[in-house]
Amino acid sequence: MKKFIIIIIVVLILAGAVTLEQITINSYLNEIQNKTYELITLTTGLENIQTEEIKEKVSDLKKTWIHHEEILCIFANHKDMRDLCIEIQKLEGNIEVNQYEDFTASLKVIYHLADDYHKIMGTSWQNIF
Amino acid sequence: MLTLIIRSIIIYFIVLIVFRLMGKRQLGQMQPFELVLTLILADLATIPMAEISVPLVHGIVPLLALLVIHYVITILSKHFPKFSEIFSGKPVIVINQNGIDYKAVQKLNLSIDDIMESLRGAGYFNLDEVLFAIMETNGKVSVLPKANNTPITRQDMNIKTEENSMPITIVSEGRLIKENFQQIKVPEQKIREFIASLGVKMKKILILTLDNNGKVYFQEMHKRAKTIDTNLKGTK
Repeated sequence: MKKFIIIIIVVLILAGAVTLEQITINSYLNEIQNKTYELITLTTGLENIQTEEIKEKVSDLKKTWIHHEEILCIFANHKDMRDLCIEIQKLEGNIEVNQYEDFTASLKVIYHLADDYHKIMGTSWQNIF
Repeated sequence: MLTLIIRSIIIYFIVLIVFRLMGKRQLGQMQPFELVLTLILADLATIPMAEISVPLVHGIVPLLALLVIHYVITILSKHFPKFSEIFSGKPVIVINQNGIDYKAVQKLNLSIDDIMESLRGAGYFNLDEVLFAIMETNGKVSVLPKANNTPITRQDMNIKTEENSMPITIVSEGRLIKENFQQIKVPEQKIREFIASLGVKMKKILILTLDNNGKVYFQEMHKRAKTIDTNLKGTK
């Protein structure tokens, strides 16, 4: 009976961990994706990216990432997270030198990576097999 | 580096707990599904221990998932013999009254040398001594010797003897084992008096056991062991 209770507790812990992982990853990555998408729409067709609004939004994206990264690292391989982190860091540098092409390229990479992590960390037949 | 040490400690305790929950059988006679689990567990535990970029959760979650699987398989095997047959196989008679059952041996993917080795391991060097040999699901061979090769027992000789009992450890390395007092009917006070009568301080006693015939096995540290007959009878 004691063992049965322990196993039930383990099953509950596993169920809790799985649910928490899915909720956290979905909400965090969605937030990153949304903020990146906002930046993509905001900068489309712009020549000058050195505006206060863009700077603020990039800084907000960076803050959000730093805040979520610690939690995401509990569930995901740290190496996988590194690429996204590097691209976010690049954004600020691109604003400084007003590199529009590199800036938008980085935004697209961030959007794509967040989407990719969604797929990698989610539960799907492709991931199982 | 410190992270690695902390991770190793955590993984060590989790693997230890998982093995404890899997039961004692895991350590000795393993069934096929237990062997598979043990192999996977060992590998799973080392990945997050050595690789800092892999979250610890990636090691813990599979360990716990395997523990649950193991429990489910064990329960199903207990309640459904067919299920147990699928996961553990069934004992196979490899030697019967007609000698070696070569078909059975081939079915088990064994050679005659393997069978001979197992028999020797069980203490039988001559095939003629064996009436039945059964290959158990854990890979061990159980042997039923022919009547002529069975050791003579006291029952065969009609000798009446008092039933043996397991000697209970009363003192071990100078420490009185109070937990074992539940197994003996002799009051603690009486035992303390007996120890005092030995003229040895408690902390100087290496081991002191008592059986239901009142026989005490006693050894003082760095001295020879003694066996003393006492009136301290009464183990369960």
